[in-house]
Amino acid sequence: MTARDMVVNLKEGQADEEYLGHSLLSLAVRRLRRDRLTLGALAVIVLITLSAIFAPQISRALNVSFDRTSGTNAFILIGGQDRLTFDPDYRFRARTLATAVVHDMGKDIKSKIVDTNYRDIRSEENGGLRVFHAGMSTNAFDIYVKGGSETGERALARNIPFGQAGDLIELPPGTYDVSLRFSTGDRAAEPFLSLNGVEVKAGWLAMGVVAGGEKSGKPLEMKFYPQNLAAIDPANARLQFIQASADAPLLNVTFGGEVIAENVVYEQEVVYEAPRQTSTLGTSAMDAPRRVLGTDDLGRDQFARLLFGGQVSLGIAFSAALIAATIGITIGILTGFYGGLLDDGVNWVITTISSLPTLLLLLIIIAVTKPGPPVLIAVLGLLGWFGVARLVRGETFSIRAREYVVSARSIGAPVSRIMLVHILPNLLSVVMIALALNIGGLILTESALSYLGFGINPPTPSWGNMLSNSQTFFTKGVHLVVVPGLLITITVLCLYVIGDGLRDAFDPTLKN
Amino acid sequence: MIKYIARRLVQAIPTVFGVTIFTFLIISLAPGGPTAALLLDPNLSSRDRENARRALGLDDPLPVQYLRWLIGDFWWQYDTDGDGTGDKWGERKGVLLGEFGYSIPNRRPVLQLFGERLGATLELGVASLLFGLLLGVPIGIIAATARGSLFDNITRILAVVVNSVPIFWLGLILILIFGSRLGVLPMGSRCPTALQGCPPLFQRLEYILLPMIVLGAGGVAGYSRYLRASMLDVIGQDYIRTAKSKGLRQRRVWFTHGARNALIPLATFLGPAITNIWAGAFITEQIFSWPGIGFLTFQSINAQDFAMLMAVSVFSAIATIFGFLLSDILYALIDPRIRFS
Repeated sequence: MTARDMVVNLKEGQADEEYLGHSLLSLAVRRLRRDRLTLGALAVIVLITLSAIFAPQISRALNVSFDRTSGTNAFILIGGQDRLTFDPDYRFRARTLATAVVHDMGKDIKSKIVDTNYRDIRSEENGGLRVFHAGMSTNAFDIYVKGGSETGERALARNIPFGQAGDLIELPPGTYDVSLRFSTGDRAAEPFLSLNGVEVKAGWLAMGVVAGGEKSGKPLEMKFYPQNLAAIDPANARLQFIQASADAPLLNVTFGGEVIAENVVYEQEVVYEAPRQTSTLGTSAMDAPRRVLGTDDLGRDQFARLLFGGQVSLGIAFSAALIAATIGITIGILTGFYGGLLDDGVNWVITTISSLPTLLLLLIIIAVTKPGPPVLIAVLGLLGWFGVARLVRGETFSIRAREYVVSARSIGAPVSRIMLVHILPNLLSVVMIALALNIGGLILTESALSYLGFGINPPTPSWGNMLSNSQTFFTKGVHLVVVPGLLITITVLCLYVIGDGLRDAFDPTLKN
Repeated sequence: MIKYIARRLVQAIPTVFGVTIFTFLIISLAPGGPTAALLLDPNLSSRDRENARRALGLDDPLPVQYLRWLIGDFWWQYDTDGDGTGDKWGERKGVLLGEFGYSIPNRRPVLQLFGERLGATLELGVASLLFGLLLGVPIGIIAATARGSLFDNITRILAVVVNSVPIFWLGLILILIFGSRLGVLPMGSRCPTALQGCPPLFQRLEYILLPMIVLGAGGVAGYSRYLRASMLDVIGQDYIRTAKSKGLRQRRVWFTHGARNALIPLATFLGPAITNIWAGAFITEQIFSWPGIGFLTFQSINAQDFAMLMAVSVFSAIATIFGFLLSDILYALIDPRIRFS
């Protein structure tokens, strides 16, 4: 029996493998090339990584532009003879009805914008009712609604102060009698204003405005201006302008520099669909003609945000894993090689810190330091090296006793050479496996932290913080809940599969 | 055995001290320090705050502060009038005497709050542990007996997938499906809000179901994988071959001779399991508004309630250490081949 036969016979069932003349690494690579599952996972990870790296180019090529800082489309600027300007910081949101009301306050003419998003109505079968208090009365009032499926009269919104709109009231479709009482806490008080036969339709908002009153010279009046929220283009917004000031001169309404209505009189409503190309800022998320995965509540393209979020999430996980691996390898080799007090000390540190749940520790550190991404990476790396260090320490310990190390020492090789030339290369398999698993774990940790609001803060997207407001998208916008989580799962799954595949490739005896 | 336990407990002491020093250091590094909670009161002037800081002894050196937290402050005189010399003896007992201080935002003793919330966390934790064991163990055994079958492959794949799913997202998806879409389960909380106090668990099982699944999913995956490996290990043993050659029924060999022995190493899993469930509770309770320690921790972090965070850290460390100790003892008790050493 030749030596070669003996080697082959040692590995039963793999007799076809050539072991002689190959390094462990080249054998591992050969095994890996036959492992379809691991190769597939590797391909997915490479694809995801590349698409994150080239996020700007991809989003430009697909024409899904991405506004990193905000979802602002355009400022709304509405003026009458340049006298009246609406809040210039107003953020114009997609699929939102922006109701702008002009009202009096003594001699001053005030303006206020109220947003109603189509998602604010939680059930698609219902409609919404809302009342804006623009009447010349400083008393707050409550809204009572009767009719439809309502049995009896109920107060549905309370304490609406002057110049503000009440909360959105969600109602099943039907005809309702709406009455208003001053918020005195006296239930028996007579309504000061009521209007019968207000129609609520599914997906529509019945926007009521109370105007006139005491000093304006006109009686208090309530008028409803219905708008179909469901019909607003998902990428657009609708502007509803209501002139409720008896005192204001004729108004011209401009939007994004363009005049959209002239000489608007008292109680007149101007409705304007903000077109995609209208923008005073230039870069606009709503310019995008193509929607691969839909938009979020601010009209930002989800696909583009996932690409850029991948940059952040993967970047953090990869860099933190590298830091952790570097520290872990260094400490692992030193403790495994020298043992003794150093080993005991490091062991104490590891046991101590890992007796606290990592998430708790991270949350406390982050709450205290409120870090940006670089510090976050450092913190994750500094808390993530324990596993690698333990593995490397064990490996080093066993390698140290091998014949080649003993012989190297016996011929007087310096310690540094033994560590770097004889031990380090043999740690490759352990480190690569640990790295793959670590990156996966770090992606999960970062996503959990960002989801909880302790990681990457919006508007910078990360896969975790894109899920932050998930609960508000349960009725409409499920894609915002499902897609980012699915992407995290797939990425982490592939990394774990790669870790397992690497382990099998380096040590096929472990395969079950 | 008592000697063994005593030695392990003694070994645990430096770890617990390490945890307290480490957390104390981090928290003391906070900008504004532990008084940040006091600063939240807008009615205080900067002079008031300075006085409060001094009276609470927050300007003293860190080692002094740590010692006061640890052993109490009966030996320390506070400077309440700002003349540079102490004039008021401390009255607090330290953590070593079981007093964890006072939660400034809640205006209540830390231990009292902690005790109120512990029940909810234990309830959820025990339920999740049982869920993981009762589902994971049979899956692992069946997968091993039917090695290579469709069931085996599917459960193995599922186990890896469950480990890759972000736990909070799993919770969100379950709430989305069962709470929001189907409307068959509540979307969170521990009991019906309308009721005063919580009824016994069996009257509100629908509330614990989803959090239990989310917190226990990792356990199901872990136990099934572990038990499958352990079972495959056991059936390679000589006594299994003997049992088979005696002509015993297949089922009897698998479940009486095999599974009972395969279960033994599970005892070592108890320690890590307690740690995992305790760690997972932080995020699970947050998603489901489950009013336990995890939920309390988030409130404390947001309110910068450092006395509370110190208490949570200490209890986490103790829970972890005891979990591991318990599983080692259990392992040795179950398996006579293991000797305490």
